[in-house]
Amino acid sequence: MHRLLRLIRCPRSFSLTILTWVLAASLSSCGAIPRYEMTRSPLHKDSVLLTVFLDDKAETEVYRGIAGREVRKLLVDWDAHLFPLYEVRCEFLSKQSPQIKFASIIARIDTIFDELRMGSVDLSNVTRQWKIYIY
Amino acid sequence: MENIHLLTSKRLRPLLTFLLAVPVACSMAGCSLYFDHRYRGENFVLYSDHQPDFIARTGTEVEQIFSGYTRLFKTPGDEIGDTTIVLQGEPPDEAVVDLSYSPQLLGYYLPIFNLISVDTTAPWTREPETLRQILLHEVAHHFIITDYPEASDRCWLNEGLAGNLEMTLFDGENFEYPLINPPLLRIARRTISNLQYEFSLREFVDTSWTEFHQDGKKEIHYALAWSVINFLLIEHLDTSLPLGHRIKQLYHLSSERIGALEPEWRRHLDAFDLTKTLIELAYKGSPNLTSIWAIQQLGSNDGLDRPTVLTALESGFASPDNARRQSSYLSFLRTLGRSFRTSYPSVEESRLIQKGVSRVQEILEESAISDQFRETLMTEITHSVTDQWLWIPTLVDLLESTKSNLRAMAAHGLAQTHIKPTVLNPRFWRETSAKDRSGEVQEWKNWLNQHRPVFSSFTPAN
Repeated sequence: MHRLLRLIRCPRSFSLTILTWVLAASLSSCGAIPRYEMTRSPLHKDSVLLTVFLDDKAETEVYRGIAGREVRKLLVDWDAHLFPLYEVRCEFLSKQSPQIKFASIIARIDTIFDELRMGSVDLSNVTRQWKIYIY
Repeated sequence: MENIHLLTSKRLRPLLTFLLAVPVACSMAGCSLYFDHRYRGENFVLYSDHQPDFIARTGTEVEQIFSGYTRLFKTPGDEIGDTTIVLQGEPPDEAVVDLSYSPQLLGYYLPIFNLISVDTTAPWTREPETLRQILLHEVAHHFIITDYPEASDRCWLNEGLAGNLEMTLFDGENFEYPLINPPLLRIARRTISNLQYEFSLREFVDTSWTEFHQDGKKEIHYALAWSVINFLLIEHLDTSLPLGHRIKQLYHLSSERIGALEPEWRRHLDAFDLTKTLIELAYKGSPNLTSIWAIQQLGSNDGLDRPTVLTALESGFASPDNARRQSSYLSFLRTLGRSFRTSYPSVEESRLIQKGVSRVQEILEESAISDQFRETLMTEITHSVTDQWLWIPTLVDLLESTKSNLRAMAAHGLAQTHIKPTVLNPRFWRETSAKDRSGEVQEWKNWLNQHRPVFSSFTPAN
């Protein structure tokens, strides 16, 4: 590391900052989940609609990553006194074109929890089925 | 769905043959190297990367298609050859449904290489009925050109005949040829009734491959070709002869003779009553594959005479034949779903709808009717998003059914209406005790009681 810092010939603190940025940037590009806005609304007593706004169409893995993250958060937040969470519908809307007044749907992921679980949720033991629709 | 005719066009043949021969020959020779799975039939080899069970199912159907067409065309065994059929497309990830891809060309047949290629990338092209229709069309090209090689130079005849034969119905060795292609009939009638569309049948039957497949006109040409061949087969030629005979007679009709039939063909097309034809096929004579197909068509086509269709389907509720009776109920539900989507029903239709709905409600609550059929009806009802309000009282009643699947399906149907939050999980409706479910059921009953006056004002009878 010391040799590497000498090689790029700049003060150590500054070099460390640069290296950290480079490392963070390269790591973040691996998962590459873009920034997004999201709304959450109940569909039924045991199902929720998540609406995610993206700038543009993305790879299937990106949709899957966002839905996975949001579903995990939802499971943690879910009120155990309600009916067990059964379905999360995650709709991805594109807000790219300024000419289009309404955002158009670009993908949808339906997550179904097959278990009829009551009480607290053990995240490590939740089985789910995914279905991804690309429009 | 086309036959690549350029390859047989006389002037371009040597050059194109050379240009295509090398890559195609290489790929054919190595199909088994490129594709994960293959199915060997008597007269064909099917290659694909899709799942082995999908290949086996499709291979069995292709086997039956070859067998049926061999009997229809009376093709000698040694002339059928060995067709290579490729089902293109990556094996689907079961969890991903890509609706963004739509193929420009569903399938094609290269006579010179005896090769059929079908694009099965889009999920809907792998649906059994769609794939069967594409294969019936492409394999028909193979038999037409084997039977009558000059068909390569008569595009309208080749495509028109394949458009008629793609409607073939079969079950094992039993083959029936209704020849009616409702979507193509609609396009042909619309085109011919458009006074601004300049058309001469005499010129059409001499259209070259390039003109026939011209951008923007291809769909119209396919439809017109279907309608001319259909007119010749069912109206002009002697229908007492077997279909195979009439097909062979088609080959010998000159362009001049066909051109001279234009006024007669136009009158036939203009007067073609699809509603009446389908009802006759559906309910006259002994039940067969065509009668069930015709009943299904009554429930799935726009542009039919709705009161006549509803009356016919309701008479089918009393059919002594089980398949006819059950198909009539399902088509009634489909017609209902579409009726509310396209336009508000007339007074007469409302009366027929109310009568039919009452009968379906009775069936759903009748324990003597098989669970399987009641579940099929429920699936149809819950899939329809346009007329669900008609079913709300029935669905609320069924929440207390002794049949667990019906309870779950009723809850699903009610959830689709989005009129009140409910519990979606089918396991809740199937597996929990009546006591656990009672709170939810009571909420629905209360909702129904509160809204009954408003709700009843919307029923079609009023």
